[in-house]
Amino acid sequence: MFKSSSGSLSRMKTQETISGYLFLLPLLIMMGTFVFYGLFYVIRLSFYRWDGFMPETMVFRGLKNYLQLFTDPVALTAMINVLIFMVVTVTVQMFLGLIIALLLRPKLQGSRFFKALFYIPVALSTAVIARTFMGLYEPYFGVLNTTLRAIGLESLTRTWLGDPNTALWCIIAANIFQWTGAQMVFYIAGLTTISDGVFEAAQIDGAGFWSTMGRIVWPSLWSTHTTVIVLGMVGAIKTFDIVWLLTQGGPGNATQFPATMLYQAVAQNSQAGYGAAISVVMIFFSVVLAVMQIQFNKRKQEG
Amino acid sequence: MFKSISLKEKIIIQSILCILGVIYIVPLANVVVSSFKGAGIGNYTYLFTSGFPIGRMIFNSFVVSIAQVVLIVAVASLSAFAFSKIRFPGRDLIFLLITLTMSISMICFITPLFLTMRTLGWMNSYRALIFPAATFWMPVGTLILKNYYDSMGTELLEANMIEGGGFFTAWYRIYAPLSKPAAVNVVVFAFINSWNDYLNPLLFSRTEEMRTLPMAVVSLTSSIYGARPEVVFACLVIMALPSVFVYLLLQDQLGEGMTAGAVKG
Repeated sequence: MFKSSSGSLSRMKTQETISGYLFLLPLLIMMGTFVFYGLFYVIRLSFYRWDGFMPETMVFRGLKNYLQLFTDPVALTAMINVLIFMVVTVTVQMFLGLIIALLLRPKLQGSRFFKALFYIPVALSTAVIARTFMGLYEPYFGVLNTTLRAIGLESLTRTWLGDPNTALWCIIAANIFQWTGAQMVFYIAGLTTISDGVFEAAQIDGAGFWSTMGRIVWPSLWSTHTTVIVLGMVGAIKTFDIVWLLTQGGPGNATQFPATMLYQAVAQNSQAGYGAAISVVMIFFSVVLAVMQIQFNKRKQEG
Repeated sequence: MFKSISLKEKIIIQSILCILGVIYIVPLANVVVSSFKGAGIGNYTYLFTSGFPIGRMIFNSFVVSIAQVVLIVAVASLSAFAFSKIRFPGRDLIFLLITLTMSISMICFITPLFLTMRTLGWMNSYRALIFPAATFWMPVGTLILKNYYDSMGTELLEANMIEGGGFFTAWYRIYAPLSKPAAVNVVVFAFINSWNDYLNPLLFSRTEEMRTLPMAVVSLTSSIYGARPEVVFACLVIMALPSVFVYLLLQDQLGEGMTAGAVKG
């Protein structure tokens, strides 16, 4: 009797295992085909030279793709650009998102309208955002130069996207416009965990606005900060659309990003091997950030 | 500080919001106003009657987005249920692998994706526009639904087992219908993400007939229509309408998905 019951128990276990894998089958097939196969493929390809078309042109070249990458001045520009982009967009979006979330918290008249307004760019395609901002940056009829001329600041007008000194900042401004609404939503969610009582108690204690912010609000949003920062960094590494649509990495190579370099190497210069090396470096940093995010979530759950 | 708000504070808050609001409205209003410059509504009718395949591109965008959403919700719901409610060896490892690869951009796999598409003969087809991009969004959908299933407990599952039902009936009859609030989030954000996706058609569509709307904007700008920016702006407005409409319609039902939707950079 004992035997039969443990037999049926293990039969149930086997059945559960089979069910589990059957449920995951569609996901595993698709992830396997498009993600995991791709992962192994680019790692292997990063040690070869290849035009991306003819199998017989594939030649092993060891670590040379990586050596080329680490000595390529364009790669250095891309690295600096992505770092500037990361630091500026993450910081500005964080503070702006938090400030907007705080301003919307009392739910004054019009709050719903403002919340929707700030979120709308998140729901728009980067193609729309890019074309919208081209309309602002356009040198002759664009809103920016027209306004500057109208208020007598003719000397400040320029071809915003064509000037290596301003092109990156134009991209950064468009990105901040597009994604601040997303960070606002994170902070609105984070602020709901702080009760009105906390704010009122601080007020009774005689604490001013800034010290309430610094001592209570800021630290208790710790887990929101980490999420916003990590997601912002992940987004920075991925950045492609907005750059490709606004400048294609130009003028010259002034606004190259890792992803635009990668796309040019593979799709335009037939350097699939070199592109794969860029991919591997990007994947490495993306996975490191994912690990950080998982660690932060664990700490959050543990309290 | 927030409950008992003075008139002075109210005015300060409202003015800051208004200033930020103007900064947000100017670029968006510029697009809408520009789209009516010159011929007014005629810019829109011109876009549809001048021979540019805009109708086909709108159709493509709907086909691709709806197919992606259906695929993502179905596969993510099944996987999320397995990760949350079924116990089997290797489960946690698979889940870890999926969350680790989630932050990688599709562009990193450009060469193997091209090869796979060529091998399957999918290049420049709907399948190429639907399957890879849906796969890259699936982990996000799985995560949102798994969190929801995790909050649901196992009592319903056990009751179903006692009645002799299997895991599939438990998912199909009980858990999937009850997960509707989370599924709505997945549907909305998967739709917005897919509708707006520019990289996907850039990589996999080769002819004007297979382009989706984000590429239409670029094709328009670089073609003879580029000389008439108001027509391009009309195209932007048409393109923005569905995703903004979906968001405004369902904004009150969107919870954590709103934040998960931001995973895409």
